[in-house]
Amino acid sequence: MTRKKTSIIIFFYTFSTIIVVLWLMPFFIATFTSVKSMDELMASSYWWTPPQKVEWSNFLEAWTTGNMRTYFWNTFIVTIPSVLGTLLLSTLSAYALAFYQFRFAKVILLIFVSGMLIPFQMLLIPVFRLSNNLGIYDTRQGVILFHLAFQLGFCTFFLRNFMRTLPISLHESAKIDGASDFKIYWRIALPLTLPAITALGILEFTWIWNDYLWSLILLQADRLKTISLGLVNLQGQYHSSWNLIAAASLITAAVPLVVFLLFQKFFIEGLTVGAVKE
Amino acid sequence: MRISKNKWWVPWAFLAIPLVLYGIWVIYPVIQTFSVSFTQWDGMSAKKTWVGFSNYSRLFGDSTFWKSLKNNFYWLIMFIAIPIPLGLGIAMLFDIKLPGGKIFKTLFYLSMTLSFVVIAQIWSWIFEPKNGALTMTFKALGFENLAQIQQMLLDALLFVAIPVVLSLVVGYWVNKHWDIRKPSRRWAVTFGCMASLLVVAFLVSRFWHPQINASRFARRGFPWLSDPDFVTFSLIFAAIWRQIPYVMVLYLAGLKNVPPQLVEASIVDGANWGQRFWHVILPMLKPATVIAVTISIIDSLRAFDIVYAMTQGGPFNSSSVLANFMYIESFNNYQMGYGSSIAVIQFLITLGFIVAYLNNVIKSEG
Repeated sequence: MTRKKTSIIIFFYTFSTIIVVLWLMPFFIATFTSVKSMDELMASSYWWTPPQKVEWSNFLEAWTTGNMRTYFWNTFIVTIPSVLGTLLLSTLSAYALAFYQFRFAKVILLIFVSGMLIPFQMLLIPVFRLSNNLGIYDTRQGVILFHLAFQLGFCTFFLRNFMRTLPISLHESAKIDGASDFKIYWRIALPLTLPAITALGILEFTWIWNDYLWSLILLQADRLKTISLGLVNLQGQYHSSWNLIAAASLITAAVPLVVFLLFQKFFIEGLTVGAVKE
Repeated sequence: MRISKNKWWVPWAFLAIPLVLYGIWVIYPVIQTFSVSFTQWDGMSAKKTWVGFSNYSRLFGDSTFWKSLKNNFYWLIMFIAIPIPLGLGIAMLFDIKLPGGKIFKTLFYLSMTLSFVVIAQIWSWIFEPKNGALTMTFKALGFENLAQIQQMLLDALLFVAIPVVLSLVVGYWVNKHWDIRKPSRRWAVTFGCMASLLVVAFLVSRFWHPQINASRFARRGFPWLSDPDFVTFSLIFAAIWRQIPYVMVLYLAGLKNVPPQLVEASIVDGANWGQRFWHVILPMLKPATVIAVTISIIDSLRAFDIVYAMTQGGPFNSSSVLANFMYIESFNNYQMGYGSSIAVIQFLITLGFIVAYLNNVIKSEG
C-alpha cells in the first residue's frame, strides 16, 4: 500500500462529508418535523431550527390513533412467511438449474429472470382476478402467496448463480457414495448456500416490507392493511398534520433501516451478486 | 452434471412446485393481460366483449397516454443522465480507502432502504409550497418564486455551464494542437480560454437574455408539485435520491474487479489521473455500466409508487406515467380492457431492455 497524499485525504473527507450531509438532509428534516408541534410547524419556523419542545407524543399518536400499530404487525405477518416460503422454494428450483443438465434448463432460467423484470402492470389485472376467483382476495394468504410466487424469479436466479460457484465434485462424490438426489440437496447444497440465502433473505425482507402496489391491489379491509398502505391512508386522513405523517414515515422506515444497519454486508452483497456477475 | 436416462425426471421434481406457482402467478397472467387488452370488461361482471384493437386505437387518441409516455421518457432520460455519472463519481470517491470511509458509505446507503411510499411522504413535506423545507431554503436565500429559481438555473446553464464546458474542450484542443507539455502552461491555456469565454458569455447576456415567464399563475410562489411543467421533475428528483446510492453500489462492486496492478502499471507508464480514468478504469467498468443503465431504464419505466403516492398523476394528469395511468384506468375507472392495453404498450417498450438484460445473462454463461 502506498501512502496517500495529503491532497487526496483532504479531497476525500471534504467531499464525502458534503455528499453525506446532503443525502441525509431529508432524514434530518423528517426527524425534526416528527418531533415538532403543529403550531410550531405552521408558525413558518425554519426546518433547520431545532424543536422548541420535543413532542414524542406524535409518535404515540401515529402508533395508536393513526393505527400504525396494526399496520406494523400486519406487515410482519405478511412479510415473514413470504420470505421464508420463497427462499425455501427457490432453493429447490435453483438447485435443479445449477446442478443438472437437461433440456429447457436455459429456457426455464430465462423465464424466471424475465418474470422479475416485466412491468408489474402486466400482472395486476389477472392476479386481481385470480385471487378473487380463488377466494383469497382481501386475505393475508392472497398477498403472501403472490409475493412468494413472484419473488421466485429473482431468488431462483440469485441462488442458482451462487450454487454455480460451488464445486461440482462435492455433488458427484456424494452421488458415488450412493446419496439420493434429495439428500445431496438437503445435506450438501443447502448448507453451503446458506451465506447466499441469508443475503437474499435480508434483501427480500426489505423489499416485501416496502411493497405498496400489491397490497393496494389485493387488500381492502383496514385491519389487514400493510404499513405502506397504512401510511398513505394516514396521509389521506391527517393530510396537513405533517408532524404525524413524518412520525409515521419514520416508523415505517425503521424496520428496513434497522435490518440494513445490522446486516449491511449481506444487504450490499445481495444487491451486487444479483446484478453484477464476473 | 449428466443424468442417466432413467432419472430424467429428477430436476423436474425439484422444479415442480416453484414452476407451477410461478406459472400461475406470473407467466399465465402475462398472457392473460394480452388477451384482456382485446376486450371491454369492467373487472367484475362475467361479460367480456371482444373488441379487437379498439382499445389500442382509443389509446393512441388519448392525450393522457401521450402525456404519460412523454413523462416516462423524462424519467428514463433523467434516470440515466443523473444517477449514472453521479453514482460513478461517488463510487470513485468512496473507493479511496481511508479511515472512516465505511461510515460515509453506510450513511450514504440509507436512502436506498426506504420504500417509495416513505420517500413520497418525506418529500411531499419537503415540496410543501408554503412551509416546506425547499421553499424555506430558497426563501432564506432570497428567492421569491419558482420562476426566479428557473431563471437562475437557465442563466447558470447558458452563461456559465456552457462556456466552461466549451472552454475545457477548446483548452484541450489547443494544448494538443500546439503540443504544449508544461503543466503550468497547459493550465494557463485552459483558464485563459475559460476566462475569455465567460467574458464573451457575459457580453452576450447583455443583448440576448431569455426570460422565464413568471406571470403564469402556477409559477407564483413555489408550486413544486402543482406546476404542470415542473411536477414530473420534482418527482424524479425524489426518486433519484434513492437511485444514486443503488447505482453507486453497482459501480463499487465493478471497481473491485479492476485489478490494482493494471492501475499501478498505468501510473508507472506516466498516465495522469484523467488518462487513467478514461483508458484504464472506465473500460474495466463497462459490465457494471451496462447493468446499471439497464436496471435504471427498467426501474424508470416501472415508476409507480412515488407518482401514485405523491400526486396520483396530477395536477390534470401532468405528472402521469404509464404505470400510474394503467392503474387508474383499471382500478379506479374499472376499464380493465383499456388498462390492459396500456400495460401491453408499457411491456412492449420495456421488452427491448429486458432482452438486453437477458442477453447479458446468457453471455455471462459463456
